[in-house]
Amino acid sequence: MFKDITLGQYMPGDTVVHRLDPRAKILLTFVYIAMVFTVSSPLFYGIPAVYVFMTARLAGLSFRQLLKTIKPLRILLILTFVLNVFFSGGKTVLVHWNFITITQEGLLLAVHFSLRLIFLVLGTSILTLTTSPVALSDGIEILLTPLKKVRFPVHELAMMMTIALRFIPTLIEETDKIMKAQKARGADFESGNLIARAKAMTPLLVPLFVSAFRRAGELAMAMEARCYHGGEGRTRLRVLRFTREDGRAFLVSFGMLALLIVCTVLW
Amino acid sequence: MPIRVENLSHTYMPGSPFSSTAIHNLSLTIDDGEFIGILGHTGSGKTTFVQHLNGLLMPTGGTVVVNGTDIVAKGAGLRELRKQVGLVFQYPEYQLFEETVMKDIAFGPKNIGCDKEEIDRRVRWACEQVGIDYETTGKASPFELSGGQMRRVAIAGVLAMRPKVLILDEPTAGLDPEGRRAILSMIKKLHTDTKMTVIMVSHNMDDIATLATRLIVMNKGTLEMEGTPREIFKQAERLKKIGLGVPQGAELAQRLRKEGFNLPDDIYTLDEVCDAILKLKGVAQDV
Repeated sequence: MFKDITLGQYMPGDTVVHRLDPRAKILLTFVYIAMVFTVSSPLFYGIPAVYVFMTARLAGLSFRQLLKTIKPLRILLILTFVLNVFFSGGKTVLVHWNFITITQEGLLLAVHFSLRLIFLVLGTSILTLTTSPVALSDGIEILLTPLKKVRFPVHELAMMMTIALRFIPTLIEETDKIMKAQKARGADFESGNLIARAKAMTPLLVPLFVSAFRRAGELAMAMEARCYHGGEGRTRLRVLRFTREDGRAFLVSFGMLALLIVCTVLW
Repeated sequence: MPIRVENLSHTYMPGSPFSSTAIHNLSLTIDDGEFIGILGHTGSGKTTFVQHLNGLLMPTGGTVVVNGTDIVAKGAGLRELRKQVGLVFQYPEYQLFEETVMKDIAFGPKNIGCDKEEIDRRVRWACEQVGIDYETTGKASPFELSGGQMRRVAIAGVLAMRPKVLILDEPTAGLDPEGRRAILSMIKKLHTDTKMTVIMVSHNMDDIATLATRLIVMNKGTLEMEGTPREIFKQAERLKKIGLGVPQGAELAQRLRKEGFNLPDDIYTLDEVCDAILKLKGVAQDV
């Protein structure tokens, strides 16, 4: 039952987008976010739209995969839309019925904010869809390196992230196994009221914690046995290098941002 | 509690890019009182198969009929099924959770609704079966025990449900030779004393050779061979082809045969080989 959960959204592949340096991808995502926030009227969403769909195409992602990333957001989207339609005021009244008033300005604003939300999620999803969690935490670690100056434990944080990500599938498997073992002894995890169900969790949680602590201890021992002593002077297996492709990606992205700014100013 | 497996198939995550078939079209029957050994290489589907026998996994094709009840049918009563078919998982000591050994063993009987006296009777009985002292060890925390003792407590936890069929998945994995022998002789005694059906999964030939009355060999999710240990271990080449070996006795006899000694081809325990060699020698001396 737990096997259906896939970790993160990463879709392995070998496309230009997949091959980009994770640092570049993280920075480009920020450029893209800037782009989305620059858009001042719904009309101009054409530019981020072209950007997102072009990138998705290059990454070999289907339209359906992209749409799936917005799905968890649907309630927030509906809420944003409805609140903006009804409560933003404005002069040009389109519909007036009892206490409900819909204005042209309100409608435009609702569309604007909904689109902003959609495009923000779409763009950032492409990052997580095409970058493995390990590459992502590598990229974050390097980008955060300047924070070491203020004694921020960048390396430790990245290591913790990597280890946590690595052990999620293991723990899910473990949970599944213990659950089955207790079910074989007649345990019932599905019926009863809330308190009964919470109580029924003890036979699952105790062994799970015991094994998580055991694993943590073993891992720490194994890391120390291989002379791990923190990030000081540590080199990497995969050295990240910016390539021509990264340069081109930056060029295109900043080009699109500039185009958007010019359009907005001229409008 | 005869078990009939018909064209059983199991596919994990069907319809997704990660789908994988663990069992394909498996059919067999298991009669009362048998001691079945299930052999197979890692990933041959042994564990997936046994989890169907008490309804922890549901077939994606075919069916399993336990004591006349089809487990796929609606209202098949999985709880009743799990009471009858006890399953001891691999490394069962990792499922212990209670404060004391006694309480942990009592978990199963409590779940199936036994009253207090019945629970106590069952816990005592289970402790005795696995060689755990009820009065002393029973009051200890399961987390204070040694690995071998923890495993016995875990097995006792399943025995206390008084199942008619006992399934053990790699019960000796990770134990030292002493612990292994203790667990094996305990299982053997249980089988002779209670006449319950025992199904033991293993990839250790020597463990299974001396205990099982019938062997089931699985390979890549299908039934590769089936028969008495004598029939199976005769086919050493076929076993080796699917990544398994033969018991030490069979291996020794085979090598001696290759060297020109006239030993029978269906012996597989060391005792049998010993007798055969003595007989050979005796005959030679007589001449």
